[in-house]
Formats: sequence, structure tokens, C-alpha cells
Amino acid sequence: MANGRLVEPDLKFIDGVIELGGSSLKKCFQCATCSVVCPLSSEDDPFPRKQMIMAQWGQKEALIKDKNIWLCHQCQDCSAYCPRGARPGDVLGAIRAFAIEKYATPKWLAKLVREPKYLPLLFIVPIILFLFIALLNGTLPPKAGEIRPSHFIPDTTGLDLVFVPLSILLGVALFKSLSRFWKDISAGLVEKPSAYQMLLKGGWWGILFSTAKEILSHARFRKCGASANRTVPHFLLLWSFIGLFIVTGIGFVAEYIFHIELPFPMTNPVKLLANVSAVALILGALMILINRLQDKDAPKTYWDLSLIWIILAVGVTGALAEIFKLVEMAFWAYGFYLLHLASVFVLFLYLPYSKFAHLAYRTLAMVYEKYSSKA
Amino acid sequence: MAGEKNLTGTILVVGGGISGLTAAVEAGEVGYDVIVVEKRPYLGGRVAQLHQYFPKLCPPYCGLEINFRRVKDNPRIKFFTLAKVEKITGQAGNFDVTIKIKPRYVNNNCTMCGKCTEVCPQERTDEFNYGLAKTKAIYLPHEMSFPAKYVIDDTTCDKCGKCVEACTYNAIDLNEQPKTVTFKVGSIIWATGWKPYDATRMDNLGFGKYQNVITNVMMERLAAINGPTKGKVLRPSDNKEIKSIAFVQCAGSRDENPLPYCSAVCCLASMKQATYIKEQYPDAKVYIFYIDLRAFGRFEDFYNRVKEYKDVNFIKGKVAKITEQPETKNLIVEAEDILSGKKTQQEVEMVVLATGMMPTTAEEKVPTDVPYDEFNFLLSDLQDNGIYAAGCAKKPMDVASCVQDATGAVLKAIQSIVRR
Repeated sequence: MANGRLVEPDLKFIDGVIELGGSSLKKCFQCATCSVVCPLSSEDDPFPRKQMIMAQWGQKEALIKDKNIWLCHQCQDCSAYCPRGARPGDVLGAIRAFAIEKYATPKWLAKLVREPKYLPLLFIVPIILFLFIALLNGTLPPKAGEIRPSHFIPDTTGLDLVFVPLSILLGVALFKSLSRFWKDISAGLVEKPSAYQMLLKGGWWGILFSTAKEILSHARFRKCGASANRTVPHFLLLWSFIGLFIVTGIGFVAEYIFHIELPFPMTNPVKLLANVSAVALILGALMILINRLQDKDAPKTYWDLSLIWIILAVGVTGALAEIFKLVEMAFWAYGFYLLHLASVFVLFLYLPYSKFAHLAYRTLAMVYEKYSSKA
Repeated sequence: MAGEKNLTGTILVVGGGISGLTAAVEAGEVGYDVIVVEKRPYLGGRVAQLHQYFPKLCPPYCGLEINFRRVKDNPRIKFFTLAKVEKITGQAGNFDVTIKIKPRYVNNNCTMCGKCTEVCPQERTDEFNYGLAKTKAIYLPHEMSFPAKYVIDDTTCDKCGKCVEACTYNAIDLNEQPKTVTFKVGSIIWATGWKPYDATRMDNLGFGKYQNVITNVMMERLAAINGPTKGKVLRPSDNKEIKSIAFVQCAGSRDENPLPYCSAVCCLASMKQATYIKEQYPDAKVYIFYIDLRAFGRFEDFYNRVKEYKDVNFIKGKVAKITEQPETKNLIVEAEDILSGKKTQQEVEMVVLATGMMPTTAEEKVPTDVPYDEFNFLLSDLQDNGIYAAGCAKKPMDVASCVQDATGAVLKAIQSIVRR
């Protein structure tokens, strides 16, 4: 062993992968069917065969900085053709869960998101917080008359007071995680692309632009075979988030720059976009949930399912609050509005620490793939 | 010896392939009466369809002929072709078996002159050549068929009577009826062997879709001197000589859907077939894609010999996708070359799928209660019920192992009779 490298398996990692949905991990016998049937794996660095043996050998450090675990979109073509039922798609999903945990900061927040026992706490904290804020604003109970969200939780001294600092804190945390991740994946780069190669790629802007184009059109997702039914709901979800993000942005600008009182009337195009997005959100989340529950082989772990339930909660509480407002049932409207705010609060927490973080890590991995490729 | 008891000393052997034949001659030559039941119109089974054995690369027919001779010379051995065991009752030492015999429509007057075939208007798929050729409805299964008689396939024959007119030996009787016969036997050897797994069920490998994707058993027929191409390996789409060929190992085997086990012989069979190619086309490029090469025991030596050939490449990585180039009908086989960690796409003129062995008992069960394993192979060793499996009915094995296994099964069958 003088010149060998001692492989030190991380046994906890292996058990963890098994627990997080990769229970079939050890069935793999390295035939490499998966790498060939995978519609997304590359010619020069195919996956997931290598990732399977690395996981079997407990090579956590190498795996969590492997871009390929993120390039995987869990199409499950590999699992469909796997001669051993080793379900590489699920194993890679479990490895991603590990990677998110590894890069998460601060760790105690990540733990709150990962473990089911903390879920009640996650909801109770924002509910109490918003009730307290309403109390301080003198809006508890909200005054009778026209139902307006701001009559319960004022915009500046309520909503913004909570969500602006929260976004900044989580944004900083996510940025820290991502920069560590970027450092790790790019550490393996033998040779930086030459200036000429970068020119061909259109520079950093070209890389970012083509990545965004791929994500927005779901170009990779659409190559999936075995679980093609995931493409449409995921597409709906992504665009509903984009829609809601735009609406929030416009609302912010409208309020602070043009001093327009919110919410917009139902006939306003911005409100229309908000409602369409909300419908897409609920529809997408429901479709994903149904697909997921109907797939007998898919692992049904808390890690896997909690995010989609939270998204559904955001959509449904928001829609109910709006409906009760329209039929002028103040108690229910304000009640669901409070639950809606709590769900959004939890969803914010989910962004850096749950499966939700894939939107950042996968995007970065795709950027890195384009940056590092020889083409 | 068995005659001194009121129980019978007859052994029933089901299946007339290499295992059944071996069992029959072994039991017959030590003095037991033997009845062989074979569903095909000839004896010899799948071995008769092989071009060469590994590792000696000798033709299987010389061994088969010796066995046929021993069967013919031994008055104790009786055999029925086109026959199936329909019913088994009784217990070890005293079975009643019912055998149904389909009509052959051709009797012993047949001299194999072939006049009947010349006039026969109907054609059928030649299953002896795995569908690579056609025969007439009245046909000789193959040149060396034993018994050496023509036979009529009554699923294609429309009984036009032209062959009866053409036959000058009065050897054809279109009115022959199925027969049912019953026997008392002391023990039973079940040697119904295997069948190749249906390769069309692997949708990613293109068999049945692309003409130049064939199976390993078809390759045996292409290489066999009495095969459809007279022993010249030509690719099916255009009968062209080949310059490159890929062998795809584990096509159906070691796959939970459908054959989770290793079929034991396919690695060696593909290496053997690589030698067919190199003998005919010394410059041809051969690619063998495998998960693990299984050249067990002394076959390691054969593997080393095959490796010595120039341009016989072994690539570790299972082929998971085959596509056809429509203009050339060439095939692109895709795998991950595990040793380099990169994907490889190899263009070849022909592909051989090393399909696995499925026990015949998966579809045609023993007509009495016997235990099977989870893959439908017989488990007779576990239960001394007077019925013993031999050869590939028990597990996938090569010809030499089948012969040894059949001999062992005979001993068990004899013990079962003697100890009662």
C-alpha cells in the first residue's frame, strides 16, 4: 500500500443515504446501464454509475462536491432500466440532501428544517410573531369594515419588518453556502478555460444566459423519459414562483415609489398575474404530490415530501384568504391570511436548507458545467 | 435385478437433449429399461443446433452421434419424439405416466429422398435455425436428424396431398392420429433443458427492430456448416461479410427483469463465437461488452487464448442502448467504459446479444407436484420424490456439466428404484 490511497469510508454517510431514500444503494453491481440510459449524463464524465460506487464506499467528501449529483434531475430512467433495482435516481437524491446539509449555515437552522419534530415550532414562531406585531400596531383585532391585509398586518411596520430582514439574513446565509460550494466544485478544475474558450462561450454572461434559458424552458427536464410526468408540474411551479416574485416586486415599487395602496383591485393586470400564478402554484404542487404518492417505488421521506406540502400550504392558505375576503368573512379571511404569512415564513426558511435549495445548487452546477467544459 | 420385485425397473427420461440422452444411455447400459420422451421431432436438443463446443472448439455432432448409436444399439432404450408427458400419478417406485404422441405423418419407409419437400406448397419458419430460414411444411429438421425421417408440421400443412403423390415409398400418411400411451415407471428424470430468453422484451437493445441485431443462438446457426448460410457468417440485412461485430453480454441475465441469475455460459459462448469470427475474418474487429467476465474454473485458459487474438476487445460496461444507422444498417452500441469512466459509442456491422437461459419449466411445468426455485428451475434435490432434475432444468450449465449432472441423476433414479 506504499503508493496506494487509503479509502476511508464514512459509514454514517452510507447509513444516512440509505435513510434518506437511497435504501437500494447496496444492490448496485456496477454494470453502468444507468450512465448510458441517463438522458442528461455527459460523454466524458457520465453519471450515476460512479456516484453509486462512491456512495457504497462512503466517499462523502468527494460526492458532495461533485457537480454531477446536481446535473441529475431525477428522471429515473436509470432506475427504470437498472437490472438490480438499485434506484440510482433516489440514491443521488439522498446524496443531494447530504450536500445541502453540508453547505448549510447556520447548522441549527438547517436542523430545524430537516427534522419533523420541529415543524410545529416552525409554524408557531411566525404566528406568534405576527400576532405580536399586530398587537403593537394596534391592529389586533383588525378594525371592522373593509377587509384589507394591511388592516391586520400593516405593510411597513408589519410585513416588511419581518420579511425584509429575514430575506437579507437568509440571503447572506445562502450566499455563504454557495460560495463554499463553488469553491469546492471548482477546486477539481485542472485547467481553466482559455480566454478564447471563454469567448466561444460568450463569457460569463453567455454562460449565465444559456443556463437561465435552459432552466426557464426546462430543456433538460424535457429529456426525461421514465418520469416525464414531472416536467409539467415542475414547470408550473417554477413559473408560478417567477410570477409571484414579479408581483411582489411590482407591489414593493408601487407602494414605496408611487405610494399606491395595496392590494391591487381584482381587475388590475398585476393582480391577474398574481392569481394566475397562485393557481399554477397549487396545481403544480398538487400534481407533484399525486405523482409522488402514486409511485410505489419512490421513497416517502420527510425530506422528500415536506417541501411540496409547504408549497401547497402557501398556495392554499393564500387562495382561501383571498376567497374569504371576497365573500367578506373577516374572521376567516384574517385567519387564513395569518396562516398564509406563517407558511411563507416557513417557505423562506426552506429555501437554503431543504430540497428547495436545489434551485440554487443545481443552477450553480449547471453554470460550472458550462464554464468547465472543453467545448 | 429390478425384476425380482413387483415394482417396475423402468426409468422415464423427459427430454432428449444432451442431458436426457446421457441419462438414457447411462441407465440403459447398466441394465434398466428407459423410456425417452422428446417433444421435438428429433433427438439432440439444443446441442444439435450448436456449431462448436467451448473450449475445444469441436463440433457437437460427433458426441451426439455416439450417443445416438448407443441408443440405437440398446434394446432397453425406447424413445418417442413429438411426445409430451401429460400426466404423472403414483409415487416414487411406482408411477403411472401418460404420454401423448403427436402424429409425424411420416413412417419408417422414409428414405429422406426429399421428393415430398420439392412439391410441398406450404412454408413454415425454421425454428431449428431460430427463424433465420424457412422450410416446407414437410421437412427434415436438419441434415443429421435422428431419427432420420421427414416430418410434417400440421400447423402449416393444409393436407393438399401433393407429398403423398410424390412419395414413391408409401411413407406418408396424412390421416395419422395422435396417440396416447401409458407406462409404469419406477423413477423419472426431468431433463427438459432451457430456452433462450425472448430478446424482443429488452426494448433498448433493438432485437426484432434492427435486422443486424441477432442472438447468440442465432450466431451458432450462422456459423454452423448445416446452417442457413452454410457456415459463412453473413449479416442478415444484406448478406454481407462483416468487418466488425459487438457481443452484448448479460442481455436479459443478471437483471431482475426477467432473469436475475447469471446464465453461466454466455461469456464463454461469446468468446467462442469471437473465434468463429476471427477464423472467418482475421481482420474483423470484435468488441465484447461485459459486466464481469465469467470464465469459471479451467475456462480461464480459454479466455486467455481468446484475448490473444488481435482486435478482440473486451470492454467492461453493459450495453444499454443500441441504435441503427438507417442508411448503412450499421449499429451504434452505447456503453460506459468503466475502466476509462467515459461513454463509448462503437459502430459495428452486427450485434450479437448474449441472451440468457430460461428454464423450459418456466412455461411447461412437470404435470405433478414438484418444487421449483424462484426462477422456475426444478429443485428436485431437496425432496426425494422419485423425480430428479438433470442438466439445465436444474440450473444454467455448460454441456460438460450437463453430462456429469445427468449421470448423477441416473444414480439417484436407480437408488430410488432399488431401495424400495
